[in-house]
Formats: sequence, C-alpha cells, structure tokens
Amino acid sequence: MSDDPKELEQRLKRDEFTDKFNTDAAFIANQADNDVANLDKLENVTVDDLTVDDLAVDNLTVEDLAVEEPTKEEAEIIDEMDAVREKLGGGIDRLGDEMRNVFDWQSYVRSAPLTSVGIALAAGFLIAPAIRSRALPEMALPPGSVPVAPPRSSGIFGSITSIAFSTLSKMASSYLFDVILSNSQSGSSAMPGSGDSPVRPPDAVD
Amino acid sequence: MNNRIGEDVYKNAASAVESLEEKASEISAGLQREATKWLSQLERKVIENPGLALGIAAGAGLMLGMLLKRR
Repeated sequence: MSDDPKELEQRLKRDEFTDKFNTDAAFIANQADNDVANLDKLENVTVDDLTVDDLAVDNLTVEDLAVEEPTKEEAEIIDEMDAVREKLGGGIDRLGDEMRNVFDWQSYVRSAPLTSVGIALAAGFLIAPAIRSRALPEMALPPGSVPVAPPRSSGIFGSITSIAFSTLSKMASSYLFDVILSNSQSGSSAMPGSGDSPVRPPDAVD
Repeated sequence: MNNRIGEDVYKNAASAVESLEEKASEISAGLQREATKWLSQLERKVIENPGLALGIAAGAGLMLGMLLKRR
C-alpha cells in the first residue's frame, strides 16, 4: 500500500462512490419488488374492491365502471320481459276488478236501475201466490171447525218458490237490520244540542 | 141567415176544438216532463240505495200479487 495522499484520496472517493451505488441499487431493487407486488394485487382487483378514494384518485365515476352495454339481442330480450311483466301486472289487476264486479250485485242494479226494480216487482208478484197458499187455510178457518193441514205446493216450482222466498226474506231482514242500525247510529250522533246539529234546544238564548 | 148561424157555430166549434187540442198537447207535454223527471229521480234513488229500492219493489209486487189474487 502506498502512502501517497493523492492515491489515498482517490481510494476514499472510490469507496464512497461504491457505497453510494450499492445503497441506491438496493433502494431501486426494493422499489421494483414493491411495484411488482402491487401489479400482482391489481390483477385480482374487481369493481367492488374499489373505494370512493380510488375513484377520486383517477377522476372516475360509477358510470365509467358500469357493466358493458347489452348487445342487441340482450336488449330485445330485456324489452320483451319488461313488456310481459307490464302486461301480466295490468291483466291481473283488471281480472281482479272484473271478478269483483261479477260478484257485486249492486253494480248490476246500478247499471240498469229501472230494469232491476221491474224484476224485483215481478218477483214479488210471482211469489205472492205461494205465500197466500200457505197463509189462507189458517186464516179462513170458521169457528169450531177442525184445522186442516195446509196443502203443500208440490213440484219443482213450489220448492224453488219456497227457497227463493226464504232467501229473499233472510236478505230483506238482514238488510233492514243494517239500515235500522246505521240510522240509529247516525241519529244518535246528530242529537239536538250535540254541537253540530242544526236543531237547537228550546231553552237556548242568543 | 141560417147559413150565417151555421158558419158561426162551425167556427166556434172549430176554435173550441183547436183550443182543446192545444190544452191537451200542453197537458201531455207537461205529464211527459213530469214522468221523465220522476223516472230520473227514481233511477237516482235506486243507484243511491240499490238494496232498499229492490226490497221496496219486491214488497210492492208481493202486496200487489196478494191483493189481486184475493179477488
């Protein structure tokens, strides 16, 4: 080894450069390893893995990441399915309304009021003989005579008439009961002096 | 003279018949108006209370049938 100061200085500079080079090389290699690892991660990333921050970094919107537009065939199928869904929905609603109307006897009466009244009048008129045939023998009994069993109306007409009469009488009685009940309720709510009644009590003073 | 009296009687009778016809047409028009009004009111009542209207009609028919069959 020489003790020349110039040579010594050169050797020091070379060692210093070598150390610095090695440090930089190690840093670059480390960075390269990190970049490779990040690239591996990015390959497995999906849209769901991205956060709002990721979008903000790249100035992306959700629309940019949307699924590809459907092809023409796919769009046609989607349109057909939508049309079928709409048609089915409207049809079911309409069917429900129609079924409700079919079983709603009041709608028939409202559609033809005078005809319905005429039919009811005729039905009452036709039922009258059946009632009279039951009621008359008991009513026309002379005093002291032996009661005779009322003649039963025979045949299909008689049975249909009796069924119709019993059904009608049940319907009429239930309807009358409802009407009387509703009238009594509305009447009790509008009693004189109850506040909103137009009738004033006799002792009211202005 | 007789002819003049006959003409007068004829004219008077014709005018009386005309006035009677007018009155009759007025009365019939009035009756028709009233009937139409009454029917429309009946329709409205039936639409408002169908059950009650049918019950009353059936009852009226029943009474009518019983009264007519009694004779």
